[in-house]
Amino acid sequence: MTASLAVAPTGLAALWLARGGGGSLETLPLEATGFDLDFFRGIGVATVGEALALPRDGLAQRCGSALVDALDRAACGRRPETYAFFAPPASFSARLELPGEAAHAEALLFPRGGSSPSSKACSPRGTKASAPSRCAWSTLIPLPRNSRSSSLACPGMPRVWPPSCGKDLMGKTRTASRGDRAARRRFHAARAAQRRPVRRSGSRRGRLGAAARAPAHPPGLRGDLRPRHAARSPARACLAPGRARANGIRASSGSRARGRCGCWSSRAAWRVGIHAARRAGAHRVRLVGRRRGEARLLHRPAGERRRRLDLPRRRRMVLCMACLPDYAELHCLSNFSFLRGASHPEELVERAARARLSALALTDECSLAGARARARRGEAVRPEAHLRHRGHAAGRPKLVLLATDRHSYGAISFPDHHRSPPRQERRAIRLQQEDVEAAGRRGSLVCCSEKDGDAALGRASIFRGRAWIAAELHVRARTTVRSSRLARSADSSGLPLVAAGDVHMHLRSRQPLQDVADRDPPGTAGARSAARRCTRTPSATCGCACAWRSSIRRSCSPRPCSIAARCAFSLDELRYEYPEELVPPGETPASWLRKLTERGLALALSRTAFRKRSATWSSASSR
Amino acid sequence: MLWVALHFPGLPNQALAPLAGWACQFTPRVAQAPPDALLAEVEASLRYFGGQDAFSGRCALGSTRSA
Repeated sequence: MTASLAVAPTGLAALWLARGGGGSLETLPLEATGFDLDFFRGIGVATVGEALALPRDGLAQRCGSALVDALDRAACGRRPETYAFFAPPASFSARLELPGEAAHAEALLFPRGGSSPSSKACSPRGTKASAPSRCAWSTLIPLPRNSRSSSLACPGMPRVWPPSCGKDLMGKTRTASRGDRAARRRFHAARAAQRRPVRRSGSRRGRLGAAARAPAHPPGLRGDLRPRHAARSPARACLAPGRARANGIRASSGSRARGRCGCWSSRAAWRVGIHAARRAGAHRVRLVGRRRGEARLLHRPAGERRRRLDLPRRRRMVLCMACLPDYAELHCLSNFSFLRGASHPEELVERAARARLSALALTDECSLAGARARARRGEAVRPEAHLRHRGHAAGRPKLVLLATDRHSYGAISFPDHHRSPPRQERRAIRLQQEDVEAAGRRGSLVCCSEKDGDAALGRASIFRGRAWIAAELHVRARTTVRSSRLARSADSSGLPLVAAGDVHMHLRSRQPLQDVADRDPPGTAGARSAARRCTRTPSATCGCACAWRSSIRRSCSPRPCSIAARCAFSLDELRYEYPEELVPPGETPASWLRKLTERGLALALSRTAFRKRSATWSSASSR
Repeated sequence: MLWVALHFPGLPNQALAPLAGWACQFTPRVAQAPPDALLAEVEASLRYFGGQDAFSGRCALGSTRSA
């Protein structure tokens, strides 16, 4: 059986083109549309283009308005199309031939090598692995903080201090303390000690003369296409224009890249391209060592010298993160939230550990499966993921329920009226208002959205002191509008604000997968907002927080990490408990279970003896 | 909005729903156009599958195999 495929901006046009065998809509025969052809044959119209050229009013009078509407929908897109999208059945049976023995159930559900988005989303190696960060996080050891200007310790290096003065990311002005100045002196001393002594083979004029006498490029080779061995020529030295002219070096345009100052930059051109080397200031960073004063020669690449100092390349970012407060992500969806999350729980936890989050909440929608799956694999990744549960209460406000201990976990996991729902109704489970109140009585914490969430919790006074409004800011262009709305919600409800991220993916590279599932088409404001729903570093989060108004910052007093610290629950605490209603009075579950076991053992032994006796009798009778 | 129509000439009546389930691997917005066609809104999925040409080729190949 063959299939034909057609692509069009409207569904009806695509359907007609697929049935008509492709081409364009203008030349498509009317047989593919399914219209009444007698009228069109009578007036000599054979294609859709000719039908579109007919006057609309007369066509509607003769053939009805349905035909004109169909033409408008298909050809012009003037009318909206409504389709009932396919919903997969709640249960199905299928037979899957496996190449070998499957050790666990996940191999049955998501075999490797699957090409569908769902299999890629659920396969740990189906998607692009997260690239390791260039910053050497593993070599940084956080020191106990006694002030905001705390420090980090690097192995083999003295303490590296944050910027000496200026404003930190929270907007407060800080000055260098005495300890910072001492650390700066130690840093300079260690840096000077680690510098390799420069070997001078001759006078500067002699070296420059050697650079000027370097052999020219072979004919036909441009400066940006030189091979590596040619780039190692002595001509890689950079020279200030005046000094170059004094030494008889003439900057020629053609064979070698040249900066604006006239310095030789063939090595930089070979590395980063000739256009990048011609940018203003590029020579200062890459080829000339000093930023102030007279330019000088570089004896080795700048990056090589940094490696010898055992400093990460992105030193400024490390220093900025050193002075940031702790941050915990309280709202994070994994791919266990159907058609919403785009990353595995393991990827989210790993990314959170790299971003130095103190805790991560896996708050899947109406499901605890993500946290359970991560716990089943027995990973030991810091930070520890606490269990959260995100559900829709009655009236559909968004609530994020946080389990603080085992009892609250039970209240969230098994609502009283959903203890044993039928299998076909499990997909439609929604938390009700009484479930939220029961979770509050058991000590759960809750974060709600600014839309209707405070109204749902306003009646539930049992959450007093344990409820917050999640301030989730993504699009910077509307940050001011949203922050003012958040401030009004906080003032009207009396609930404090807490920063959250509403994370849907661990990296932005998962955005194409998120687009498949997201309701917002790519390019819209909703999709751009969704693109920022990745796991953010504390610097990104606090950078967004800097844009908040001062009133928001004041009211956003509880830090997410302090809320996460109240959740001391772990899945390891869960264990089987014998039901108390089955234990008779005067017995403990262990003693009663022992009695039952002994009874069963006696019964089994008597049956075994009976079988042996009967086997002996049957063999004797057969003889 | 970008729509893809898959036409299966001579398809049996009961075979359209399994094909719709197969098409859900490309996009969750799949509609049945009885008796022998499927419609899928695929604008959000093009970037994931590498563009319109790659998506069309993959969809056509899979539909031919599935049918």
